[in-house]
Amino acid sequence: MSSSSQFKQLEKLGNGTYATVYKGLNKTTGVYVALKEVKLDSEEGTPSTAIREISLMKELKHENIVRLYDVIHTENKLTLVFEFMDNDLKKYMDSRTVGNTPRGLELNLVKYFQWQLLQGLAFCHENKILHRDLKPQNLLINKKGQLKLGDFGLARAFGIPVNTFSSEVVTLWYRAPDVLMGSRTYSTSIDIWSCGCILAEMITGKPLFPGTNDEEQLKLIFDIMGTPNESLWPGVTKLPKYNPNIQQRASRDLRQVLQPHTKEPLDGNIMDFLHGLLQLNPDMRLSAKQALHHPWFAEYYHHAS
Amino acid sequence: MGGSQDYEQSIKRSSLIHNENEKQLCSEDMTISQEKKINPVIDSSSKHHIQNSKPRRALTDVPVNNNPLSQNKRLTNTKAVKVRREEDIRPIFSAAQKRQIYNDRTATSTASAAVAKKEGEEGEGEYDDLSIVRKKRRTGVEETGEIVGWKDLDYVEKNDTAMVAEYSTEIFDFLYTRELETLPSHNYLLDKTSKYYLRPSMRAILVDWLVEVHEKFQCYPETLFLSINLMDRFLAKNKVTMNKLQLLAVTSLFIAAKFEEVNLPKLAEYAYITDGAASKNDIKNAEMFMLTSLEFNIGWPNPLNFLRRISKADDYNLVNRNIGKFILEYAYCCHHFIHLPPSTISAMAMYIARRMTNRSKNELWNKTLQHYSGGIDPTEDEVFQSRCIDLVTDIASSKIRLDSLVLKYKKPRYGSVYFQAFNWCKAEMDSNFQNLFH
Repeated sequence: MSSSSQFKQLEKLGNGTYATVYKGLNKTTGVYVALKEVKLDSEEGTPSTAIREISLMKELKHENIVRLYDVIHTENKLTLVFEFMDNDLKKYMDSRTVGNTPRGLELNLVKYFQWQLLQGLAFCHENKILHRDLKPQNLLINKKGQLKLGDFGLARAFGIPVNTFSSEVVTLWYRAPDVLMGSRTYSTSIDIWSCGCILAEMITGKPLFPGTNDEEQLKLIFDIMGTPNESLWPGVTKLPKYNPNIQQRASRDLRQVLQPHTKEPLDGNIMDFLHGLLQLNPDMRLSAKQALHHPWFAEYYHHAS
Repeated sequence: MGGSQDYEQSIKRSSLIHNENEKQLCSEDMTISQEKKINPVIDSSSKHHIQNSKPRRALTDVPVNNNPLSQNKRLTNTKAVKVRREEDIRPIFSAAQKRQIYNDRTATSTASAAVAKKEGEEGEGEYDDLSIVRKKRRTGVEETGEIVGWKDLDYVEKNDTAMVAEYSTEIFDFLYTRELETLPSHNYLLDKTSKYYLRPSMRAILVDWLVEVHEKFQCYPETLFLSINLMDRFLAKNKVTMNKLQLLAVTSLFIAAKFEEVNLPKLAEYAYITDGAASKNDIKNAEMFMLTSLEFNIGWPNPLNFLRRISKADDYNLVNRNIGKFILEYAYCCHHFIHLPPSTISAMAMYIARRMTNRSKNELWNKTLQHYSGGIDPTEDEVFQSRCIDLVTDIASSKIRLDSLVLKYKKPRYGSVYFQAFNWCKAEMDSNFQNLFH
């Protein structure tokens, strides 16, 4: 009777933020799915992450967002049935490492992935949803070269004006400097910073800011992007965790940081685009919608219109 | 009382509730624990029926636990550090340009496709005539290319990140669609022949209790509205016996908080605040039952989004907005309006609030207000007018007791707006509403 018997559970694909994911086979249709199992033995009832992920993903139907097909409740677990994707961006990049040397992706592919990432993200933001955990592991890809946003466990809906939210969001390496400094009034720009980090990582094959704690994370960011100040970023000194004693640094040329790690030349367009995403001041970051109209994507939007 | 039987039936029935395409979210495993015998929690006259040794108080006089909660400290030091965007440094993306380029395909077409699809799936007659009115109004707005003569205030705010101005058009288009998908299927309080009929006074006790608990827990205002919406949607399609109503109310709040809040009250605190009417396990079981019945459709266009949007066209007048919030909350607590979309109720609240304070008798409404309320023009809309009259009457005559709500808005913290609002509504009622539309 239980509809979970409709699916044959296959190998484990990984652990999400609050669940285990398996590959599954729909026995009636022969279609592969991803089964995300959420344990319900929590002291606090159904995890809020599951409630948010399910209810938000039901609203988000877009070709660059993983589809939630079904939710099955059995005795002590919830099984979320997702569209199956062959791989995630992290594993895909890892698979291209030669020996110990990470290799970036071809810039054409980088652009195609980034385009899809921003399409999916713009759709989230238009539907008043922040993802809050964008990173290569959560970007799923398939053999057709499609890229889709997955794992909405940290996502949440926002109102206008945006309420204050938790600053304990986003995996450290992809966390925006304003959030690292304790800002809780972030909005869509929080996801844009992550997109910038992901773009740099796709180019070079290695994470741009691989910090081990909040402090080091900020240091790594400022080492390259320069330290913020009131004139570049009004209000920064009032953030809860702003450190006034931080050593002042000038920004480095991002192109010089990235170019040694890729064979293809990084032109002005891509660098301008990347700078648009990696603005320290959240207000200065491009929106997903603006980013999609950046000249770097000219070939896509000209083609589309 | 054939109560528990009703409940069993409702469980069976609800396991039939599913969206055909999305497959059954319901499974037979869902049960709300029924081992508890009928414990009259609501009706204080029936205290004698108590079977457990522990005496239970009636819901009407459930004292709310006054012990300080661990999360009371929240949000005290989070004064918004507001930063403003510098004048646009990238002239290539002027706001107008962006909107045009983007609007044409992806956003609008997918949204309307989604609506069309949804309607196809759910068949006709799911929503009452109201949705048709709404659609007409909207398409009217779109076809004539906007209401003529409104001021674009989003543009003024384009440098304020908290307003998400670059997406506000898309977001509100989405919210106006979504609000129709997340309405209670019908007003189960007005139709005495409905099998889900519930006495309005019963619901009033529940929502008033929610107002009180919500305030104690110091939750966001959004959470209160969401919990009322969840409860109404559930009650519009499930028969709930009297002794389970408080469980339902507390579970609604439990779920709403998980969706909206940053710091969550503990399950134990929810159980405690019911004064024994609902155990932790009861709430956990009810939670899954409710989520399943609602098919996990928790995301909902909160009326505060609309209220603030209209307030934008009202120069963010603080007095009006505070009164508007009281009227909005009152409207959600009384039983006449639960089948109306949040944007309509928000417009009613703001309209009445403006009448209340607008002594110089300026405009009743204008094109900008019309635009930012989603196309509502109270001066032309007789249905809207009669609903405003109902609401003013409700506030003035207080047939339904909403003690906690009244108490809350007597507090300085909420601008003590109750007195002014009540007096004005009363005077309006006595004078046959002569100031309401003139």
